[in-house]
Amino acid sequence: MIQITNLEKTFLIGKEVKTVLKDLDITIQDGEFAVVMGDSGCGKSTFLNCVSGLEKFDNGEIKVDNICMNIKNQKAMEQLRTSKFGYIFQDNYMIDNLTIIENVAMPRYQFDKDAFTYARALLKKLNIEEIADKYPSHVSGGEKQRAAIARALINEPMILFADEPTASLNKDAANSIMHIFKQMNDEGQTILMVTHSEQIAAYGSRLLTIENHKFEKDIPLDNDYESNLSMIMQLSGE
Amino acid sequence: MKLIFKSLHNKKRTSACILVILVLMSLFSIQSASTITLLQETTLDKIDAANSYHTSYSYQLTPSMNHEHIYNSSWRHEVLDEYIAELNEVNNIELIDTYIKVHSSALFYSVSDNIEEISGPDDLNSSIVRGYSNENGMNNYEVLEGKPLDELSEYELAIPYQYNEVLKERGLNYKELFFYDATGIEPYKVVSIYDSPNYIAEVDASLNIPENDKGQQIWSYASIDNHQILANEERMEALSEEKINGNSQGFNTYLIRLSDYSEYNDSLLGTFLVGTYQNNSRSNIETTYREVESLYYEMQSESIVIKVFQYLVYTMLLALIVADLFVFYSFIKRKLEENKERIGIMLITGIQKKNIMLAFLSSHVYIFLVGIGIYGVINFFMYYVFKLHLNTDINALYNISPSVLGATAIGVLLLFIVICIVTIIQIQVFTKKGLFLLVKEKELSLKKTSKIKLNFKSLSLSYALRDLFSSPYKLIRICIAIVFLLLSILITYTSYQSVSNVYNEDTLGITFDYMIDPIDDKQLEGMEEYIQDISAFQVKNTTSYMERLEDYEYINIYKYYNVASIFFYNHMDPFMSELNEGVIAQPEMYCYETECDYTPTSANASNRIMSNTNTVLKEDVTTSTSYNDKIFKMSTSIYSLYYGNYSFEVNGVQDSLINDGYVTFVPSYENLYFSNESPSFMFQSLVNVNQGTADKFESYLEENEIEYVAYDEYIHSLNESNSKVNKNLFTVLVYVLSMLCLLLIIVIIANVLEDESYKKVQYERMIKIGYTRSLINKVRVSKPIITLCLSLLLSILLFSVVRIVYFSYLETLLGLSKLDLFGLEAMVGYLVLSIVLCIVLVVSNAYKKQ
Repeated sequence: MIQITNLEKTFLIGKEVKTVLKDLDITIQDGEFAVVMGDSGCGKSTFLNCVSGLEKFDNGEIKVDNICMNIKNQKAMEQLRTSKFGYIFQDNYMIDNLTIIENVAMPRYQFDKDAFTYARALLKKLNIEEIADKYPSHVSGGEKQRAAIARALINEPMILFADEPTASLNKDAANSIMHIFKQMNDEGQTILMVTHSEQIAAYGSRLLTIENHKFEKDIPLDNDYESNLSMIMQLSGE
Repeated sequence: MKLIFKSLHNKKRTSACILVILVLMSLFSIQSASTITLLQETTLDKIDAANSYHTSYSYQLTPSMNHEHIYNSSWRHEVLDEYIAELNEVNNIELIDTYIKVHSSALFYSVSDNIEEISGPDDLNSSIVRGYSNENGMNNYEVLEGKPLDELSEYELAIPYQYNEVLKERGLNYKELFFYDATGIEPYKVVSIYDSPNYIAEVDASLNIPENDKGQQIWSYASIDNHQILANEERMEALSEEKINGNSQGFNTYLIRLSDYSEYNDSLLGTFLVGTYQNNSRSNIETTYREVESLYYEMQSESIVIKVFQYLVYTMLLALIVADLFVFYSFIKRKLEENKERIGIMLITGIQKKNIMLAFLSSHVYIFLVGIGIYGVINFFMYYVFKLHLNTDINALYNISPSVLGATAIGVLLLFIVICIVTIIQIQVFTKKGLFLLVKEKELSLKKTSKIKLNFKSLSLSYALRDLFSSPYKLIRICIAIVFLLLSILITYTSYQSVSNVYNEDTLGITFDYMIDPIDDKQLEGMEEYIQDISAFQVKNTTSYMERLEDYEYINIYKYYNVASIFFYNHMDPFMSELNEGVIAQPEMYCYETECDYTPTSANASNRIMSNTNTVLKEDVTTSTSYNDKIFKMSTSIYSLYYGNYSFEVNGVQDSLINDGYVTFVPSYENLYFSNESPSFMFQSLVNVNQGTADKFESYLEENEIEYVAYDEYIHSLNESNSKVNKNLFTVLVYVLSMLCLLLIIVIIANVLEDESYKKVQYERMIKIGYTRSLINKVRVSKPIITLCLSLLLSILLFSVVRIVYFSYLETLLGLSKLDLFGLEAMVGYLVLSIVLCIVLVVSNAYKKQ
């Protein structure tokens, strides 16, 4: 569970202080698939980066499993990233001189010598076992993104952070990735995802929209994709 | 770890090579610094290690001795034996530790092919050979090749390593060289090469080895310790006995080891042997003299050379450490920038930072291991194959003894740790700016816009300037590294120039416009209209002066100097140069009624001596050559003005940096030119000419075929001799200069490479959005040129301050009253270079406006 209280984040642009997030409160329960939406520049990626510890925030408190996250404590943050957080970005950020299996296994390999076995199982689960020994430059964008998911899952994270994970993919590949997300969530994986696409957001179990630096709407979604989609479309239309 | 290392591994062979070269240079530099710090092995140390003698005292038994001495030669042995044996006891001192008497003789040698040309002693080259004796355990020389010294048979010889090196330089193999004694019957062969600690520095200068033409026979007692050819003692003794019966080639030498060697004790012994024994009515031996140059000459020159070496080695070490840190910093910075995204994603996906650091550090380990491997191989060849450590001067800088290697290992470890700490700090700082930025940040825009208004219309130049000044700390870092190296180069170059020009008006002590060959009355009359001052002079190498150190039991203890004395037969004042304070030192005068003249035994020393001892030497110099001949013999290593090309090596016996001052200027009470007597045709003259008459004077001299040399030419020849004598020192200076220049190039390359990696993405994007490639290239070129120009100007500014302090230090170090202040020409060079670079920059940018 992640509890966020009074989160505030500002940027200094020249001499001007720009507030992006202010007095933001939210709790993400275990097993949720929370989707954050909002207009461009509203601060949804900033929110995700702050919650996942990739960016510092100015005020507020973030608790992970009731433990206060201290971003200044690099050792503690490193521990969080190793054991509790998994990250997926719009770009897959595969390291091009490592094979797919090496890319996936590397984060676990530093403390588990069986990391490769586990990585191979993950690749099999994501239906990309055949590309395991290929280099990133030899596989498609969709396959690389699946590999990136496998890499994010390699340390069995408590929560998976996804920032526009399908933005650079075509529709089929995007849907394929989202089915995987849905399946993972069904298996109990907590996911916090940022997207601007209603079609992608409809896969979630909870919809959060940011407006005026805080969450404006917090709507639970059900298991029916079509009804979720029509509701989100309707909201967007408003 | 393996995967992290693999993911960060870049095949940058050039960078790796540069780093390995740097590490290698650092290793040798640390080794040199360790050698010079731990093993400042002076000749004295080497003598002590070999348990050899400190000084020697010889007497010759020649037919020129009076009959009483010839017939009583055995009695004389006993007297000197007795005197030396009793010296400690009689004087109640612990001066002599031990001594041995060995027999010496002259051998004539020839290269094998020329044996048939030997006809008699007068046509041959000779060499002094001493019997080898290690009585009392003295002279435990290390044999490098061949037979142990105490096993030399009757016709076998041992030569020192340095002697063999000279033979090699002259293309001779010691096995081709045969020596003959006066009988000329059976040849002596060289069977051993040994390492000699005694007085080896000048072996090259006085080594008498046949060249193409048959040189004149050199009969030099001083050469005995330079040559140090050793032979079977019994054989030498037999030859010595022969000479008593009319053969003039033999003599005996006492090799004396002092209990506690010091300059003072050496002087004390000298005083006892030269003064007390000389004046002892029992002895009255006119042919007794101190045969070798004193060890303190060697020690003084060594001390200077070691100090100069220390300065060079420590400067280079410091420069290398700065360069190491800068280059490693630059390359790590470059690697971090290049791998920014990878490092970011690794950290985000949970890779521990310490593992990433370890991956970076392991590349350092790799670089250091390769460097150490190459270093080991080079050392092996240098030490075991080329045996460079046996070269006296290289040995002062290069040694692989366990203590030096241990210190080198510690030094390298410390350097490695410092580099690792810098790397760790770099990674910490680099990853502190936010993981999100590491992954996402692709636009490397200017950090801040600087208000730089330029008149240049060239976009590239203003872009380059803005780019540089937008990262002021980076610019400062690069400038500091380059300025440090430029400053080191300036200072080393200045040192080079200064020690190349130790002879100048201020250090020598005399000035004149021309030195001319002997002239007759008519010629003197013909040139009178041009002459302002003239003085006939004569150079005598047979003189000496004594510096009184202190009293010991009512005996004056003197330090003896061999000098080249210049005797002025007319006024010397116009030719004496000023001392530091602008004072012209005056030798002592004596007056009788209204007539004043110089004291016959007074003299001026060179300004250097006077400045160093803070005295004007006005006593203890005697013009009586007959008296001096009793004590000192002619030194062949001091060439006279009179005999040798109008120049003389006032360098004395060992090293001109120290001995340049061993010349005195002696006024004479005889006035040749202004007396009624005609000037002697024997003497040369020093001349100052009237203003504006120099050309006419030269024409007159040329018309009358009078040889002359101008002052500048004379000083130049002295400095040339000095450079020749100190060639090893100059070699090291040139080596250090080259290394510093190489370091400068490496630092500039590292800076360019770092900047390129940092700006790569930005440049690529600029090209994509329409900037021309030529503009980008101009920006790339402009930045290092601007940085270099800035550094050049900064280093000039700094040097103009540093040089004042530095020269004062160098003058003290070299014991010279005043040095020529070089460095200005280098500063002008830097200035010209920076102006040229600026012009190139502006012109190339102005022509193609973007």
